[in-house]
Amino acid sequence: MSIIVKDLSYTYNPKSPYQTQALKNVSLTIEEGQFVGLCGHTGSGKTTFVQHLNALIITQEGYLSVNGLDLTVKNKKLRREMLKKLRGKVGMVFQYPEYQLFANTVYEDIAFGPKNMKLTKEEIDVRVKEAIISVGLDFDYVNQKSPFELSGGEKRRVALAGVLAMRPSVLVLDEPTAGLDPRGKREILDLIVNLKKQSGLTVIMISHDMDEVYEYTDRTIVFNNGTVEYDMRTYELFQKADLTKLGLEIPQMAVLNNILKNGGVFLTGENHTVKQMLSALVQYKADKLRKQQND
Amino acid sequence: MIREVAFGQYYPTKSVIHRLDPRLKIILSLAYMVATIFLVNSFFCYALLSLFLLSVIAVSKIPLISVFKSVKAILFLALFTAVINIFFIKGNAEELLVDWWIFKIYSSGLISAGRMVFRLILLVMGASMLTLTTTPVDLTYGIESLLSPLKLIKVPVGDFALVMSITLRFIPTLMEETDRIIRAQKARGAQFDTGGMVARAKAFVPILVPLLVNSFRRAEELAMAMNARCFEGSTKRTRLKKLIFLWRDLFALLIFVLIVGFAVAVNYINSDWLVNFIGKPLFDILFFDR
Repeated sequence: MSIIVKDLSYTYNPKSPYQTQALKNVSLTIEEGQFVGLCGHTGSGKTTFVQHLNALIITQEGYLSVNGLDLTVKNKKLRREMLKKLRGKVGMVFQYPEYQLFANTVYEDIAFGPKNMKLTKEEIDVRVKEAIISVGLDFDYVNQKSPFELSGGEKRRVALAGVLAMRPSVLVLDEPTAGLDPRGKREILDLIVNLKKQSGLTVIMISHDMDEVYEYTDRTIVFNNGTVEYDMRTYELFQKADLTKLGLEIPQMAVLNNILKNGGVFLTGENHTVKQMLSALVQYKADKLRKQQND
Repeated sequence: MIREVAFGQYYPTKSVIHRLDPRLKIILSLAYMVATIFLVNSFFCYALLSLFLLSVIAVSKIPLISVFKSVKAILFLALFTAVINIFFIKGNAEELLVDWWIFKIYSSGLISAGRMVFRLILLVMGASMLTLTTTPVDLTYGIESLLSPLKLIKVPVGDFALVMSITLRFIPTLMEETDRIIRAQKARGAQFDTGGMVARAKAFVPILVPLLVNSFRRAEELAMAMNARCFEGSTKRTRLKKLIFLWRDLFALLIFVLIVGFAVAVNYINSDWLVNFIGKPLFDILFFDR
């Protein structure tokens, strides 16, 4: 199952002085189980694109389907049925999701999604527990607390749990680490990677942090002025040097890799993290030593 | 979906109407509204006033549709008033038009209904012309300047103006925020258009609570930011853009007084005198409702 997008275009406030075209003929396919990074400067169309995936924006032009569900149906009754199925399948975590918490207790807030799916009480109970544990919070501790009593990082986890409790097969994250400290960032991202490993989730993540994208994603799509500028394997993309033109930073590890390459040091494998880089360097040194000894 | 509700939002085109002194625009809009509601009650005068309004819209280069959008918001109210007037106003026996079952419709009811609808539409369109052609900032300056005589009796006009400009400033922000929260809750399967009244009202809790919490947070942050920049409410402030009453403003005022004044005057002139002046046949056509 996958996401298929063909010639998607979208214009905000058409036929008014505020008219702006946010998407122009976007076509792409996202396979199940991929971890995709979406990059591009502000106003490049990423968020508009992502909101299409959950039918929060009604498609104006083009074709879009998620797991075989046609999102472009116009018929009201069919559309309602499609939405019911879709909202459980595509989980959407917005920017600063902690600002959408509303319930008296953490439990109630996380149960909001499953309740809307008309699940049984027992099933909701199971899912809320599972979701709280999967975001690394202590169930007994937070369960009956007000979400407004929690810390920023904890609130964000609760919001994430609220989406995960619907057991989506596609998880869309709009800058999930914005405003978190380095440790909070790492924790959220590791958590997502774990979820992905456990359940084969497809993850689509908007991010401005290229180090993050480089380290965690398999594939990166770069938006520019409403069109897809690049769409390729993350590692390959950042070996290209012209991303700065689009206002994107080159990840630290990719920069290091390039410096080493220019200095004649060719490392084995694709090294995305500091750890991988270090072990590759150690490997390189060892290989060199061995070579010298053999000579 | 939220954006469409925001009728009367500033419409940026370059026109004379846009450039008029906001104080003048505020006063003239108020005068226009008073004229339509209290001073004028014959169809001929309404026609005059509508003609005036239409020419103002034409000069302002704002598409008629954008102005009519504001009418859409009161459509229900207008229909409701019309229906009430048509069915509940009793006239003389010779005015009876329809007599069916329990419904009796008199011609005076129809005339009164038409009058009310005309009034409402002119009123809303006139008011929205003010907001369509004046930026919120100009509007606030205008109101502050108009209220400034109240400073003499120690009314903190400057503070009111500040509160108002902050309010106006945050309307789009809050609307965006509402939009975002609605989307977020929709993504979690929330439905706002199904179920009975209670279910629908309940469905808004997940929107209102975060909105309220966020507004307080924003207000607090703004207050802190203002404090950090040494803001003090009571000091006398200067403006970058001073409001100056120009020749074109005087010209606009003259046109307004001439046309609207004429409409009001015609409304109050003695009928006999008018009949003598324009003749009985023409009078009967123009002032059929007198």
